[in-house]
Amino acid sequence: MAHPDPDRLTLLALGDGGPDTAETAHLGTCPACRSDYDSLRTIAGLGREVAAELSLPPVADDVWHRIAAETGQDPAGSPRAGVSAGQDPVGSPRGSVSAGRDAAGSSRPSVSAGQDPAGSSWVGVSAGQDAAGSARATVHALPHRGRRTPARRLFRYAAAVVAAALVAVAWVVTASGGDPGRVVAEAPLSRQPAAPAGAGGQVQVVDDGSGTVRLKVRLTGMPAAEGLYEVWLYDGVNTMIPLGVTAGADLEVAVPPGLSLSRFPVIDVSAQALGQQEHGTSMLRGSVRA
Amino acid sequence: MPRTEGGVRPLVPDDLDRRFAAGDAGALRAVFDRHGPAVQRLARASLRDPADVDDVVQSTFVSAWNGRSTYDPGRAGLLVWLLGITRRRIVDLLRSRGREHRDSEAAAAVSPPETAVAESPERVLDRLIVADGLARLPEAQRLVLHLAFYADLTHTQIAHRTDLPLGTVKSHLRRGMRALREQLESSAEEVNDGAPGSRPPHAARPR
Repeated sequence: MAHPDPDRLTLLALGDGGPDTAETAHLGTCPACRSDYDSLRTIAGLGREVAAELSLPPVADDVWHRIAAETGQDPAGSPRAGVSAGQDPVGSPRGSVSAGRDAAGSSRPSVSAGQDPAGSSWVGVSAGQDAAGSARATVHALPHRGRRTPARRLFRYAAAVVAAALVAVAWVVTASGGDPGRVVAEAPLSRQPAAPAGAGGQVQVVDDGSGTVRLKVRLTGMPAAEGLYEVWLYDGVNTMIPLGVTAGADLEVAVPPGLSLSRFPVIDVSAQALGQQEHGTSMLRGSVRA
Repeated sequence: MPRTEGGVRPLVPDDLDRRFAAGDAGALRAVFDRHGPAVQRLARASLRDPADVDDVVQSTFVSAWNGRSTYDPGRAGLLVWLLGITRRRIVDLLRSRGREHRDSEAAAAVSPPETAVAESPERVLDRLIVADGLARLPEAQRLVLHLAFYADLTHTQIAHRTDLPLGTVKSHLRRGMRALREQLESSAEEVNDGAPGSRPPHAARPR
């Protein structure tokens, strides 16, 4: 037979359908297609494992201090070179767009996008769409975290991330069907290493027909929270969006309009110390599937 | 079969990479914040002693900063370049301990005995490289691959979810997967560049 086309080979490597008899035979005899297929399968396998590398613990501050000392850097952070106070959207040297490091979660640049129902200051960047559908992003100052960041550049980065998210949202069709209260997706929440054995949960995505999608989160076997549990949407890469907190009771939260679960398919439940603004320690995690 | 899309770098270039190469004030801290966890992850996959891990992370960033003029943002992503340094620092550290290894390759690949194969340093390194590549793909490719990898959707389901034509989804998947493969393969060269001893043929290559 002819060589399978590259699109087809990609789908096979992703496990999206199986090879038919002719394709199996061809892959058995054509070294070029076989190696193409095998290398793509390697990528597919690694891609599926990537989730294991997304919540890496930060490096201890002490290590940074040693690096700073050896390289002559300001250990407290960096000079805000090139940032004019008047133009800086963050507004003050105490502002920080990227929380940067959290206690236990990812320390990749993270931008919290979404609504801030409680009016508290944990939202770094809130994003939305205006009536005309164009993206806007606003920044709220975060409390000082003991160091300075090149906030303006990070702001640009953050704004770009948010804008990219909104572009994605523009052509992502939500699975909304219209029946009030219809469960459009659900997923188990799996215990993360920090959670005790027996901990678990369930998340349901409910479309109430008003255009707002809500998450119903049920927690089981979770210890009494020392602080609070917080529910986050996660894109699996570098953006986590806090949705709401609970002391352990079941929780129902609205997904901010303009955000798509296609873009943020991972639901994370973290333990947060009281007052902790960054993502704390992951306790449960699940991925919403179609 | 066409294996690559020519010499075009498929990944979105990163402004921070260029700032680091240029020695911008604040770039080191930003790079440390962004890539430190991945560097530490690789070190932990190879070294048991937390103090050794800290030493490797420290020397990686110090070497990187001092040698930033040798980093070419057009050639590799900064993380890949950093992980290459990390790998060499791990080898250096193990050698300086006078441990007996047949060669540096064995040293770099050494891992705690209880570590499963899936957690071998080489596998962790490959994953970190793919994670980095994924984060730097053009948005549309990244989105469809996220849905394929994390939500386990088929191309038909992705098309339904995104309202993209089926052919577009398939072409994004193909381009994204091939870009990741190129990233992994070129990274194998970059990571080994200048390393004493070379890594065996990469897993992404035909065996």
